[in-house]
Amino acid sequence: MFEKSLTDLIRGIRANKKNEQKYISACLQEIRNEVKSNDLDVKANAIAKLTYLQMFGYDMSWASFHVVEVMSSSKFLHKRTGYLAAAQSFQQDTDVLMLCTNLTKKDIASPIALDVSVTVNGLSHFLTPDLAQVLCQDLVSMLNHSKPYIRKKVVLVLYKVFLKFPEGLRLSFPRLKDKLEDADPSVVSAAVNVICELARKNPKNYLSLAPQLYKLLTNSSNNWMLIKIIKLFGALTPLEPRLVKKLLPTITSLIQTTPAMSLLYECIYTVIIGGFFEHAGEAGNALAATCANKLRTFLEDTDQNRKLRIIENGQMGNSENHGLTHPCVSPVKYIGLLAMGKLLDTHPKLVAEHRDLIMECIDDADLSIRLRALDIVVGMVNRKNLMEIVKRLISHLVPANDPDGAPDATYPPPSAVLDPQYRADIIHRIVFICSQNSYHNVTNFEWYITVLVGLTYVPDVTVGDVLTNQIMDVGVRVKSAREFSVKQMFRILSDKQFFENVNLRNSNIEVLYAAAWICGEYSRFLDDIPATLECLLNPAVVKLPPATQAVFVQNIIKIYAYWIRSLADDWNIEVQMEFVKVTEIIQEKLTIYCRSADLEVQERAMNVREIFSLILDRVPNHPAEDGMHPVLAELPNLFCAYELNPVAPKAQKKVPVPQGLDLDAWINDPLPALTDDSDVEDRSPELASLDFESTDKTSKRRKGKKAAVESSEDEEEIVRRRQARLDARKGDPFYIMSDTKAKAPVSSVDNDLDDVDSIPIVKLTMDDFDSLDKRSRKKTKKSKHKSRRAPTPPPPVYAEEDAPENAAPDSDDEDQKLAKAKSRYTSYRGNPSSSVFSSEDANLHSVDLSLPLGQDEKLPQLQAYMSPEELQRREQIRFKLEKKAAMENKSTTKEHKSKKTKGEDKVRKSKKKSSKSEEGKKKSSKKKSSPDPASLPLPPQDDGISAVSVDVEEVWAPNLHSAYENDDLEVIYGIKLLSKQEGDEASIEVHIAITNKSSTSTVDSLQITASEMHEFALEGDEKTSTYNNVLAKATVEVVNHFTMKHQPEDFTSMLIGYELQYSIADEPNVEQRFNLQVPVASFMLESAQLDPQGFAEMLSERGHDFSHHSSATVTFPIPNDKSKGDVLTYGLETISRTTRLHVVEMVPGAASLYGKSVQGIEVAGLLKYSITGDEEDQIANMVLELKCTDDQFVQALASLVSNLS
Amino acid sequence: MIFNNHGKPRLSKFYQQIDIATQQALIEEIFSLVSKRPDTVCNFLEGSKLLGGKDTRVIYRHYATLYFVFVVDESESELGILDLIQVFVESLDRCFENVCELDLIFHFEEVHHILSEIVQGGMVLETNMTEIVTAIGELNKMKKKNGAISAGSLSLKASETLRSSFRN
Repeated sequence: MFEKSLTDLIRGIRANKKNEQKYISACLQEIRNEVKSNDLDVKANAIAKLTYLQMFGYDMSWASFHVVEVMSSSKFLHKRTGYLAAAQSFQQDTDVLMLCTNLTKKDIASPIALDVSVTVNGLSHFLTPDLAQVLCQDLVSMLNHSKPYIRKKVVLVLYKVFLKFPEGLRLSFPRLKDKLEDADPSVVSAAVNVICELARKNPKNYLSLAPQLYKLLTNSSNNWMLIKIIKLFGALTPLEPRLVKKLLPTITSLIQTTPAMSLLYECIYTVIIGGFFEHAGEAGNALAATCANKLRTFLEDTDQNRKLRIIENGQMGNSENHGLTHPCVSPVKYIGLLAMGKLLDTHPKLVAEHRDLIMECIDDADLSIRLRALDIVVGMVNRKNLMEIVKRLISHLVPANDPDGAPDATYPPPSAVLDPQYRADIIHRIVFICSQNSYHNVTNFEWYITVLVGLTYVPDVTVGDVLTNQIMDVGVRVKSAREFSVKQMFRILSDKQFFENVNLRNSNIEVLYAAAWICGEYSRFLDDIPATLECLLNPAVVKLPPATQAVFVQNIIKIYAYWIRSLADDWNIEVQMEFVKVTEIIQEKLTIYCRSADLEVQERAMNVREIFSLILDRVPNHPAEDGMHPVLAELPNLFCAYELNPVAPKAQKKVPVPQGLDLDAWINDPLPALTDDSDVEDRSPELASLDFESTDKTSKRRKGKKAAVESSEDEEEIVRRRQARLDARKGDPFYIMSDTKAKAPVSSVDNDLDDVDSIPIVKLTMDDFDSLDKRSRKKTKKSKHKSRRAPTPPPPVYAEEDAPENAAPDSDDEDQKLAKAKSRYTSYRGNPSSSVFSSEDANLHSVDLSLPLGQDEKLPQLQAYMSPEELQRREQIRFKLEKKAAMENKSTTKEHKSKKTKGEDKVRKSKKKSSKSEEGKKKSSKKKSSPDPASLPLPPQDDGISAVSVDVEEVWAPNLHSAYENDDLEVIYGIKLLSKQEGDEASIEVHIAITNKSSTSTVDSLQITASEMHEFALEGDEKTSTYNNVLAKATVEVVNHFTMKHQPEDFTSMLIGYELQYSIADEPNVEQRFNLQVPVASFMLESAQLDPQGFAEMLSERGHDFSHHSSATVTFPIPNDKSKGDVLTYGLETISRTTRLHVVEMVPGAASLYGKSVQGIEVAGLLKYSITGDEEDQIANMVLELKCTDDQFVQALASLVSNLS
Repeated sequence: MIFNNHGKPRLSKFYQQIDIATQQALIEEIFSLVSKRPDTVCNFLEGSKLLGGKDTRVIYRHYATLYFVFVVDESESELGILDLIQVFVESLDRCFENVCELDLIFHFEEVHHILSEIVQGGMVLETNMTEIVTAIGELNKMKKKNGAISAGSLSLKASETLRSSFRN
């Protein structure tokens, strides 16, 4: 009565701004109580409040069951609230969705249009594959609903159905197609909408609709729909170029006449991306020019307050007086740029004409517009405008007040400048446009290096890696710029300020790596070697990343070596003294590296230090006349043996495959386990050859190790072998020779010293290649498509790229052209980032509509979904017939009917046999107490399953369990509930069948006594039954009745203890005790059945009573010869029989169960299954979730099920 | 989604099933992107980290204290969506008679229903305002008939009076 309404809640939240959190959690607590209320008004109100809170991020998945309850209300208001809550909160895996099947099916068939619309709208949000499959047929038939309002909604929801149930598309597509000709424009629009969505991913299927769509295009005036149709045609034309001719006049006239910006834009955009220009020939160019001019007007649009009236012309009212004002910002600039970007791919010249405008847009205050403009600019770059464009881009990186930056009137606001992501993007773009096509556009590399160095100093961006690569690449490739770059790098190295940045998170400190390397590699351009060395030994370096430190160490020794050489020319005593002093200092300072925690740095530093101490040992500290020590003379040759050149991208491919080398053959037969790795087998020959090469590269290092191992061998032997190996390699083109004398400018060095080779790029020489044979050349030619040769325009002197000299000449022009065309317009793409929207429609796109429908393709029509009334009627008829048949059968053969299980059969037989030898009293008691299960009066309402028939009779026949077995006897028992309704005294009938297992001997006497009964009491006095002369293979039966005296302490272990005594011939008496387990299911009432509606009502009324939960899992293997359905049916039957729960309703994938015990304990269950395992042995996993009014009971029931498998 | 100048969501509707934490994160991110932008710049936005992908665009309009934001993929026309926002707002306006933020706050369900008449399951259902308003009118009729005695109408009345008190 006094619950908060939604308005109260909202007002409350607003009133409690200070401690909102606390207020909401208090409200949530209230809501938790309210949803359990029996009053649907209260419940619906609570759900509405939850939905509101959900918007602020409060989880409401716990209430999903209550949502369903509200959805199932007959009141429209409740229904609406419920469906809204469901639409907002349900996920694909919300399990109560399974309960919605019948509900939604009923609701969409409702005569009240609004009910239907609410349901359809809700469905479009929470449709699951199962729901889609079940509802598909109904929805399709609703396409002919009398109200267009419903029709249009159904059309749209069908798209969702197709997403979840792709088979449905094929089946209902003709109907959907008809909707394109619906009388109501909204329905047509919805159908176009759906087809447009469908055609986006797989347009091929929808080509056949072109005539209808064309008609709509020419006749309709609904701009929204026209836009969609145009978009659709944009997807179709690439597949069917002939469409272009047909469409061209229409679209051209649209472009020229339409007043609606959005339609105009869409036409232009489609014309561009739909490939109209290519297929339209002459007219195409004219059209392209028109488009470009129209786009120009877009870009020029500066009217920031233009009113856009596009959709439904004239419909939009004047909104000046409304509570909300409508600032209409011109969005067309952005759109124009977007289309321009697309036009760039086909008509770069046309776009170039508007360069002025586009460049203006780069400086636009709006980030979106700027990014779009950048896209175009990146594609527009050529040699002439590169520097200008880059300059413009750089101006975005440097704050306006920086003296270096060009102050600009239209300068972007600081917020945009400071966005690090944006700036990193700009830098990536700069690097991209400069480096694309092997620096095709860069004419002045000194300028480029300045740019790169400038970029390093841009704060707050992490682009160090990119810049490092660029600087090193340019340094190696461009000979003429090396001197300049060395100078620049020295500037960076000596910049103390820059070193300070190392602790900043977003500094580009990595560039030091390149700086050190370039200074070391091209040390001949260094002006001041000791100063450089000092920079490299700056104590601040310890903060640098280890990789950079390692490069520092290596380059210290490289620069040092070059220094020695430069000193060598005028070596004298003074120089020597100076030299020794410097060396000592260096060696001392080097200790900072020696202490590095990084192994690589430490190892290199130790190496270098050793070299220094070697030198210091040899070179005397005092004046000596004998000039330069030989050690010093040799050292430079270690590092400056030859010039390092870039390797052409094609170099590896050009290496001819020598005769007799089979690249596909295994070098070593792969281990069996490894062959499974598919990628090993998939490797292309090129890759294989690379592998081969790398093996050889490392073989040198291995050589050293091997030698160490074989140290015991004769010294001479080792030398001999090494020589042999070297000789062998000379002829091997895949061996990378690092000491080719022919190429090395100054080389009088001992070969072995080269083992210290640490130059990061390996040189590939071609001197030793055998003359190639033509066949192999052809072979290699085939495999070069992707790479392109670096063009070598005259002004900058590039380092020549190494390529095998016998390689095929680059005559394949076609390749070149292709590669050029491709690379020229590759626009810059940002890193693809993952999206929160999963692509769920993969299946849908594989649907092929071009194939005619097969005979067997039909919409699923589950019989289980007949209306409950119809179902009930049928079941009654069936039941009557069965009963009749049962009566007839009974009079003839009694066993015939109940041959369902073997054990049961046995019991029956024994009844017959034993009845002869039993006393009259026993007989009568049996007659009274064991009515034939088949003749039990079945309640008129069946469990409502016809799709999968669970045999009621079988379920309610007593379960037979084995109680005891030895060599002589086998004891089987079954328990049956005698009580008929709730509240009766719980009384059970226990049948015990004792079989003489022997086929020869007779059991002389047999006595069985109920000895321990715990919570049970035996009815009657006869505790003991005695039998004499039980023949071979004969069975005797004992029937005892028990009533439950009190609730058991533990439902899981209710036992009745028996004592068994028997004697066979002369053998001594055997005494045996055993316990009969009374399963908790024995107390389930057979009559407690519910139909789905009753079940739902019961749960909605008293759902909160079922507060105790438990679940159990059973797995059933699916044998190859059985179908899944059989096994699942068997599983359901087994579970139903074990738990004695009635199956209330079955939906695909799940079944609901219900049962009530004689004690009045109620159990509701939900059974779900999943199939796992591979093709060969599948397993059906069935999960039974139970809700119950008694904790112990439900636990016991669950454990029964768990014990099944 | 709709949120106000302070990033408080006023209405959020997701046409793909996204878990609630991500929903909140999305709202926050988009708000932070959108709110930075001055009114003079264009209404399109991309580069949301969570949304990802070049195809997804954020299209928004700013009305007084509210941002109306649509997130769409490439199959929608940008200008078209801008107009759709306009249609939505004007529909709200007609249904609430001079709509203001408070209307949206207190009739959060209503707004949902109006939106569902325009967009269903992520696809545009109706662009004709007359149709939309008629449909809503019918819903309201139904509601009045149905809920004459229910709590819903009481709360409606309460908010009606509340609203008028705000106006005065």
